Amino acid sequence: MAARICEQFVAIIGVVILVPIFTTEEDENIKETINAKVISPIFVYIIRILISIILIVSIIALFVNTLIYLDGTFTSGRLIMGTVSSALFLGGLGLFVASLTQNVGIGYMISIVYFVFDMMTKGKYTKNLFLFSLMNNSIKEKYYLFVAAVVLIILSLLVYWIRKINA
Amino acid sequence: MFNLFLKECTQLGKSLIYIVFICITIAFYTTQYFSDIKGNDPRNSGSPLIKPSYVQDVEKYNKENDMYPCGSTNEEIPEQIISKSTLMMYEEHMKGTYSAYPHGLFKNVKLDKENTKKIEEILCKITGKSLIELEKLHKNVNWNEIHFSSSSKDYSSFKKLMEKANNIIGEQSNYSKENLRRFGVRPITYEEAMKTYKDLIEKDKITNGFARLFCDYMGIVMGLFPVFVVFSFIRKDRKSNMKQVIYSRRVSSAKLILSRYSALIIMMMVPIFLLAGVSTFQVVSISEKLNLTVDYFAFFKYSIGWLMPTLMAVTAVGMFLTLLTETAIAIPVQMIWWYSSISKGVLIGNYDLSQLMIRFNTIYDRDEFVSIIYNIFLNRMFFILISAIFVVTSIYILNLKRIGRIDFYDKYSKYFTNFKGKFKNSLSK
Repeated sequence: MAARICEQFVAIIGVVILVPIFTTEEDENIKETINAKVISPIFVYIIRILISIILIVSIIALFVNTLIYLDGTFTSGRLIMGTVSSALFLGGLGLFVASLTQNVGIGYMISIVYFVFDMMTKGKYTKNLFLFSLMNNSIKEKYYLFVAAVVLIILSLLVYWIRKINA
Repeated sequence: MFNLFLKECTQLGKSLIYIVFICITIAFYTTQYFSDIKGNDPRNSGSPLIKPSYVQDVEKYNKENDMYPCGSTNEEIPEQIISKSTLMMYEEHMKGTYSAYPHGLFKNVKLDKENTKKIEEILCKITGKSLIELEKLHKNVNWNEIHFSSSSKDYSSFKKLMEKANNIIGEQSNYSKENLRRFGVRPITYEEAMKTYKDLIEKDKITNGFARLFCDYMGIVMGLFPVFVVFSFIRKDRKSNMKQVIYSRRVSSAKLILSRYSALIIMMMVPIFLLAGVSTFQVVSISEKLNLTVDYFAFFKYSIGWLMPTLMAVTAVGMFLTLLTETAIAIPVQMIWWYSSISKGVLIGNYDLSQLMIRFNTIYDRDEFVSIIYNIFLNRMFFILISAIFVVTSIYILNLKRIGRIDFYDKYSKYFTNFKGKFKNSLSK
């Protein structure tokens, strides 16, 4: 039950927090100003991403501990780690698509689509990247999700960097 | 106005997000609707398009094939319900956990000592045996030997006891009024199967039944994903710095909004119409083999009447929120709306006014559909009204924005800069 609440509701927080990180620079004027500065925008992005990740982890930890406080009976570490992996993966996917297409709308859309599809097809197509594995008491998928999330976030920075060089 | 509409249509058609939207719709169609109707192929034995065959000895057939010739259904049969539900309760009692499904979510309920005792009492009262006797019967798989008298008086007192148990365990346990019914199973008779078949083939002309299932699944797409398209499309003005140029044009706000809104609606209905065409073609190709007549326009009729109001409401609300705040707030709002509508978990027959998508997850049950068609009509009218209200408000907002009366975005970005300034000041002090 707790796994269901965390995976099906709380994990969305990753999309809300992580996806719009590059949005400010979608405006060409702002982008030009920022790119001309001495401090590399990539550095700024890394800081932003770290802050977002800390925010996501603390919100989820707070939520899970509130559940425990309200007489929940489950191991918190597993649940927090699992939910964070799902949230980061969803956020990372959205972020990557958003930086690739330079359109935050598509970023949101793809991560939500992934979420809805996975919920409907119950991991038939996503296999090791199944978002709701804690509900089946399996944590193996969460490691894959976490690695995929890290890769996606790095890739989205890479896309931005390549675009900046080519510009 | 028509020129403007065409321009908006081509603009939208060329945008990436619209193409992504079409891909999602098609993917959803193939994974949900298409995989669901595969079983209806007349080559399969249980296909609804094949006339049910008459079997004389149903019980014998059941023993041989482990199923009834025309399937089975739930009915309130006291003997079965009393016996099966008490067995279930006894097993749950021994396990120490009880299942409940509040708000469609599964919940494992553990009872404290006092309540466990109450459940024990209820068990003993219904079966007329002590717990030790029950344990013996359960071990030897002789549960059927318990003599349950099923006179109507006993059954009503049984129901009262079960209600008590349900109150102890919590909302929507296995023993709630609705869930008790599931313990009674009886075979579907030939006459009933024949009526279902005739309803689908003759009254529904096959496609009407399929179209309801089609709308059920595609409604899930239409209740959420259009908002992304709307958000990107409306925000484009801001992104490409066209805001001021458009604002200062002579064209009226009403024209601007209406052409944009209608372009969004028509363009997003295009994939639905295409898929409706594909589905019609599919059904026609199946039914031609069986020499059955088909209603060619059913999918289109249902798409317009059933899906379009959902799309209209989502688009109007999304457009309004994006115009007003120029942020992505419309997306979380729509997600919450969509989730609250879908998480009720009722697959058939929920049509109250909060229901953005109407679900009807079956190709049968024509009678049920006919009985609620008026409520569905009211629901759809309600959403059309909502979208009209939001479109009119959007026109008003755009008007105010053009004359510079509101700029929500600037206002609260200013608020944040002030906030930052205050923060800095307090630090330097």
